[in-house]
Amino acid sequence: MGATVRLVSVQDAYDDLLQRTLSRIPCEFGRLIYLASTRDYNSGTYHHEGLAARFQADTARKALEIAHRQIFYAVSAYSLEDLVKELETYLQSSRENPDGFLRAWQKLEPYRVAIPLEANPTIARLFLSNIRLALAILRFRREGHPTHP
Amino acid sequence: MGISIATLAAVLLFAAIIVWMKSSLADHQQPFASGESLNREDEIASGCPAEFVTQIFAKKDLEFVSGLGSSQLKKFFAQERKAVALYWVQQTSAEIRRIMRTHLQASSRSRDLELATEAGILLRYGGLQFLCRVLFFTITLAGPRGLQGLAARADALAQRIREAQLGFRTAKEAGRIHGV
Repeated sequence: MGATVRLVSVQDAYDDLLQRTLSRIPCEFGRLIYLASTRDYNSGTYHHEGLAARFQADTARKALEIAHRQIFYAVSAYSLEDLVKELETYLQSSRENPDGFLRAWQKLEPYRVAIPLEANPTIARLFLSNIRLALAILRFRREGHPTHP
Repeated sequence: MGISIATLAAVLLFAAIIVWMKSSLADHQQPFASGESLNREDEIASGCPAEFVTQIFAKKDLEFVSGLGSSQLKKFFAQERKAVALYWVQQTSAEIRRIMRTHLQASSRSRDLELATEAGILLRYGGLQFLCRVLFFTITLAGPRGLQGLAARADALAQRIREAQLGFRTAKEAGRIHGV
């Protein structure tokens, strides 16, 4: 009984997260980066003020963790062509200077934080590799010649 | 007296295979298993899903990159995919090695071993390690292009070993619960 109530509660928190927060983010890649940002760098635990207020902190944490893992696997399964489109949408939504954005992302690789803690290591490798390729392709398209680190 | 020569030979052969497998599993000089892959063994739960294995070896992304008309991007893509493919082979080999080590430890304590089942698992293990070595050297030399079928075969074999190990563990736990 207790477990069922907990599961329903996590499902409710998950649905709430999708409807209120994630649906406002224009692309799947943006959702992934957002969810990764709700995770504490030191402890690896997730926290979302609004979700924790509506549900219990533990339930909110679980919902965030599940959503992060699901979106990570969805983005990792994208073809390179689709990932380039996603990254382009994310770049546009960031309102940053595209050249500065691409340079910073290629040098600092901030997308590494988007990998969930318990991700399959091969999928994590594929994800990182595909992002590197997508960034190189976007830069190639902007500059007309390939540049990658 | 009641034991035929054929049965004795089969038992001896089986024992020899076990000894060979144990020495193979105890060998720490793994030519294609990196330190990283071994250190992260605890993170490997059930292998890489088949759809991702297909993606690593598929032609679709290569066709997309080729269509961009840049030889440098094509080269970069080849390097990246080669690294990921090699990593997958290392991970699969290390994971199955770990599963077999656990399985052999458990089966050496078991009193109700099924000879045919054990021989089947060992044969699959040998076959998979052979395939992993072939894949590793071919990818190193020529990249992952055209190896989709072989990779799928290795992945299917790894999955069968995982399932066999899971079945063995479930049966042992059920036996323990029922006091067998």
